[in-house]
Amino acid sequence: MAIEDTVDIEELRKQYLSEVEVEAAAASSPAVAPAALESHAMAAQHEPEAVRDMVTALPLDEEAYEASVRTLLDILGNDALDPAPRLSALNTLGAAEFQPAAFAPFHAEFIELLRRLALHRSKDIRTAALERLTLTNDPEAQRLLREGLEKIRRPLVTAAKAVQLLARDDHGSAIPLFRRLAANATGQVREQALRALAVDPKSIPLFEEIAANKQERTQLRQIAAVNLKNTSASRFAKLARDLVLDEQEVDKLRAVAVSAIAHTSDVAARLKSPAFTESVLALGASTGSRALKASVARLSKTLGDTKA
Amino acid sequence: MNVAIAFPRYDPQGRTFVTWRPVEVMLKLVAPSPGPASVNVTVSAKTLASGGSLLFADHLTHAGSPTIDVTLPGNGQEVAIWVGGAFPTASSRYGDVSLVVRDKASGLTLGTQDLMVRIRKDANTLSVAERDRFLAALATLNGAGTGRYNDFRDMHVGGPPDTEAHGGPGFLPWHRSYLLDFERELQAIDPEVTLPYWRFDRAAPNVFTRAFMGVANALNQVQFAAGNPLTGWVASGLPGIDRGRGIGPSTVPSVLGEKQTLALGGTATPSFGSFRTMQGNPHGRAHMSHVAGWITNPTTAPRDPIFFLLHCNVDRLWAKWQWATKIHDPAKPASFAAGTFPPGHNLPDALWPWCGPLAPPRPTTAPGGGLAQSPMTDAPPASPKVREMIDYLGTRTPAHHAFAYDDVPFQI
Repeated sequence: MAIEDTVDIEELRKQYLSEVEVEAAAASSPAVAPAALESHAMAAQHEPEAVRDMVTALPLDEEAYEASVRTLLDILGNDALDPAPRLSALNTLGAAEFQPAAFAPFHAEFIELLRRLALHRSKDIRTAALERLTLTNDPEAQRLLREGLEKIRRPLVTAAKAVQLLARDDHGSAIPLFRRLAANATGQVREQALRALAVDPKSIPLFEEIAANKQERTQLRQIAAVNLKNTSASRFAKLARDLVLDEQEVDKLRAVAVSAIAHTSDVAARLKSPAFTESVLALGASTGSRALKASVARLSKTLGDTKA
Repeated sequence: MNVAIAFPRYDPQGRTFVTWRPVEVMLKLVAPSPGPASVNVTVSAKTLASGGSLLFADHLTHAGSPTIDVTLPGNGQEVAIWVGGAFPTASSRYGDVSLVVRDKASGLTLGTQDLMVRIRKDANTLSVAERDRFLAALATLNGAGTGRYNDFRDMHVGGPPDTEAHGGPGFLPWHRSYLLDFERELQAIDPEVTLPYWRFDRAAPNVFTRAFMGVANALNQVQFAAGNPLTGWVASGLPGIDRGRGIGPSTVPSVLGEKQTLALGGTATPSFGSFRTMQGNPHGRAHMSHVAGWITNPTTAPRDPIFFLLHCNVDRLWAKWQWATKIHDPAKPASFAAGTFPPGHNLPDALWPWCGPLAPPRPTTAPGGGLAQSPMTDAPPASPKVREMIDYLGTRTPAHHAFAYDDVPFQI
């Protein structure tokens, strides 16, 4: 029987507390004052890196919150400043938004400013503004992105990025546009459009076609397979069985199919049979892919647990 | 002759789990009649490789010892001992530690009980097996967008729910309840899983990999290794995870460090009222350290599974502050903010959504129902109050929550 030394918890606590006190003493020097930052940022000879560092160090505690947010909004909206400190200000404003009650008085002004910045000459600022606006389904940002894709206006971001940001819309208002792009576009734009159609039942035939087509890129087939799982368990079960049993298929896609079956009880129940289980076990034994082996191990357990 | 060992709680599979917080265990001699007047036994732990350790005592204490001698009456009368995990040695799987009762004179084993010192760990230090079990449970809970996970997403959205979660000093108790609910759902899938935490003040090279929480590409879409169960993650109808590229394997986010965070509470007269300013930094800044994506907005953040690891660290920081300052008792003013706050943010207030739908301006719907219950404890109740989320280790009452952190001990 091994007797171990036990930890003296109180001694540990005292030691830890003394280290915290050292940190507290170090922090007793005043944090960056919002007013100091503002005056430095507005000075003609301001140093962009210093402004950025000061923005990052701005306090967000209750006492300083209002003044800090005011200063950050001013910096974000100041076209005389370089993009770097302005993007730092945007990031810190994002942190401030995690105290929504305190941020509420500034919310409307923040959104208006972001909408203005969505049209800014700096691509980085435009993109960052659209990133934030689309997280909250902002209709103005969605309109700008849609018009760019439909070539009604000059695009504000790349087409792939526009599709990705538009796909955040919980209401799916751009689904018809995504269907067109998934069928006709190429490269990243097509991939993003396909991803955006994740739960679109009208695209089930397209998902089946892409997932089964060995001429398509594996990444695209993988997205199509996952979309099919989301939209039709019965049709995905057939596809997944074909992928698993086809020895000429790429391991990555087979691993995705096996993993998807393992984590979707409905699909697992549809496929459960002694013959399928035997094939899965044989696949696990013969493959050299560690990912596929791990997925097979999980699926074997699922098939064992699933009532036929 | 043998010794019956009775832990206070077992799950439906007959397994028992402990944390650093000791629980009362009953020992009883089962001997043929007529038996001895009494038997002297030694209780100790048998630990497998990388297994947990146990401490024993005859009363509730943080200062147990690796063994304890007990005299068991021959008439079968029960004797109580206290058994808890030996800080900081946690289990990595069920049965990697056993309680063993031996006859003191002969050394013969009279009884054993397998168990697990089940502790929340730093995600960066999980073994591959621990990581994979967690990911599998997480993916099952998500159910490719159709699972119970959706309730957790809906609890933490904009509008009135936002006020419940973030609109006052109830921020920390609310999220403690939320995480506990989430962890218990994971444990209903796999009882050996705990929620790991992401130490956002350090680099986490083992977390931001394709095999674990994934790596974002140029379009902010998280890429996973084939076979990672999160490959099938779906949130709000969209497959995959939308996350910026702010954090790589070697990134140290620009947030307050752990000790700086604890220092926010003050050192001469520490108080929760001061400590809770951590809601801005490091909490808000940790969200924004990813720069873009779901995690950077309160409404969309729970769509990204890293959210749960981030908030587990926020809760760990509160737990560590509670331990360092010995402020666990909700009856003490320093344990919570002084004053009157919006509903849901005062000590006696019931926490939404676990309390059910409420009248406006509070939320009129309540996704998810009551807080998931644990086979290991009755606390907190299915409809917890703010005050019931404070003493999670049960330092003042028997009402412990059956969770603990790998670097936060139990101490009375």
